[in-house]
Amino acid sequence: MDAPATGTGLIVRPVCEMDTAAIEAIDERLLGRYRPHHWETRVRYYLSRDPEAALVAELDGEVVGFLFADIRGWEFGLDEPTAWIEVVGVHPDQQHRGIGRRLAEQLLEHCRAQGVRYVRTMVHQDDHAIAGFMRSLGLEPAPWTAYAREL
Amino acid sequence: MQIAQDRLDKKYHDAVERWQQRYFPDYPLLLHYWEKYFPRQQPFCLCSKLDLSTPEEIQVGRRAGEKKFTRAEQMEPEQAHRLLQIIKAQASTEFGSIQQHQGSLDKAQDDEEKFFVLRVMAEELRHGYQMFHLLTRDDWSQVSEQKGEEIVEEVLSMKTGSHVLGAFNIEYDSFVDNIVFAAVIDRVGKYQLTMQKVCAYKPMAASMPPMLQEEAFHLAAGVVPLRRWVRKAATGEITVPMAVIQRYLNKWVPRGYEMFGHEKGGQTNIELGFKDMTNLQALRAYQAELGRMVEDLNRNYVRARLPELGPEEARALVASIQQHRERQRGIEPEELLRLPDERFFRRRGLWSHQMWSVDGEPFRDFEDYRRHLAAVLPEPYLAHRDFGEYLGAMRRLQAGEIDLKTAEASAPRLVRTSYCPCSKSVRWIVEEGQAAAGEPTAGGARCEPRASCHGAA
Repeated sequence: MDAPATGTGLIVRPVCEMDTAAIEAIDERLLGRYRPHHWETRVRYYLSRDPEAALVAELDGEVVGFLFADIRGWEFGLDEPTAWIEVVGVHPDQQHRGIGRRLAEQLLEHCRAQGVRYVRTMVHQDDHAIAGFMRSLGLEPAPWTAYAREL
Repeated sequence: MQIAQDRLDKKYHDAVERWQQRYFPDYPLLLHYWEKYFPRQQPFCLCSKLDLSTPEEIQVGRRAGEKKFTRAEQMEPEQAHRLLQIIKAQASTEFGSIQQHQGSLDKAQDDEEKFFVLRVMAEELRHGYQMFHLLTRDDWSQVSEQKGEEIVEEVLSMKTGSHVLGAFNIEYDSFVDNIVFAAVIDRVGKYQLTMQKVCAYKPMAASMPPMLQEEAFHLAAGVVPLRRWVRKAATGEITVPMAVIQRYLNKWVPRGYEMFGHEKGGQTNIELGFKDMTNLQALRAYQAELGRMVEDLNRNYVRARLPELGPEEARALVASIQQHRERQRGIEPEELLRLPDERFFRRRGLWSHQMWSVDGEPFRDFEDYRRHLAAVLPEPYLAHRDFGEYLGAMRRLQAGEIDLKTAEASAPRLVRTSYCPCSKSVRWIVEEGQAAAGEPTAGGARCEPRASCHGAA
């Protein structure tokens, strides 16, 4: 890990509409795609639900990471409230500095306060970096299998 | 955030519902289609919400460190009186914005945008309800001759033209108003609510976090359509051209600036423990945020015009065009948006009723100024009573017929009438001696003909 960002002006807070451009830019750096419509829709969606489960990390005034989750009461036959981590991204220049962990810790704290007992997510089997990150947070492969088909 | 929900006593709850039926007729439509536009979300709740994690101690002011007030009677009379005015003004803005939004809601081009605005309206209704919770769950009789019931009636009787703050007295012409208002004026709301999170009166402080959470959605309901419009404008798929958006910014941003109060004020609210910033501090933070919003819109425009540019190149190009004020890579400076100068079109505060252009150039001649306003404000607004009142006041001020104080007071204001057929109601009134801008009135106060004679409560 590079020098941790923790304690050097790092703030984790709920997302706001003004963060959309920074999130787009991080996504563009990570995936090489400019998707303003997509991120506008997502940010507005999370703001309409539970902004405290959709977090950004701000380092010295610049948004350098985000983690969006959604607490849902019922899904796939699971009857307990579950926090689904849906997307996480950290600016390539700021990775390995504990920013993702800070985001996740604040999310988990919020989830506990809401009475949520399970956090779940899905990771592509080839995405070892994200899988490693989830494991570092204590998430383990679950006895569920994702099924899909193309239409 | 741990939230406690509550409902007003039945008579107040019913009064709000009657008001909704009259001024917000599309509310049932929102509830009917809630699941379609806000899937798997908690249904809308017309109720008050209090954050249970509000600090116990006063955070700012003369009595910082002492226990927060839980009852109005615990405050000094001056303090309680001032807070009552803040709560009434807040309630008025919430109901006022619904009346404004309803006027042009059906002009939305897109159902999704319309339903997002409908949700904004419903949440404003809840915010007004929240203020009624503060007004009716406590005894304000030591600082007001009005009972809680009468205060509620007064607020529910206000119509566009009679609300406490000027921005809520301007009717909308198009859906551009709905969107620019959400992006610009709701942003003032965010600052006010954020400042009031520290309020020494605990029920007020506890009201703020849930309201702020909803306000964040309101800002997105404004900014997201703006971003999409500027990208469409850039590619020629014109929904709302940049020049039109600019005119609406010119219309609303000055009203937003004024909502912070006089630039030299606000210190008393800090000393009394109600807010944590002076008016000017909050205004400067707001201006900076508006600047970032406009910058973001310009970058969206440039990237849509020149898709080969990356984010940093787009940022540099916008900055260069604005700095040199010349065409670059096919984009004219006039195509980009800019914030109007803070002195432009002001009716309150430090720059009240002065003649400045949108770019900060002074005018000496009133007719030149009038032509400038006509060139930079939305055309439908030029025919509005609100604009006519302003121009009339400016003309008479420039001619030396009235002083600044009279000009500022010339806007229609709230007065409790005693001789209207509906004597309990509050009317949009122009009083003799204050009618400097509009047509002079005869025989003292008069009922504004457009005002309805049916109080809602």
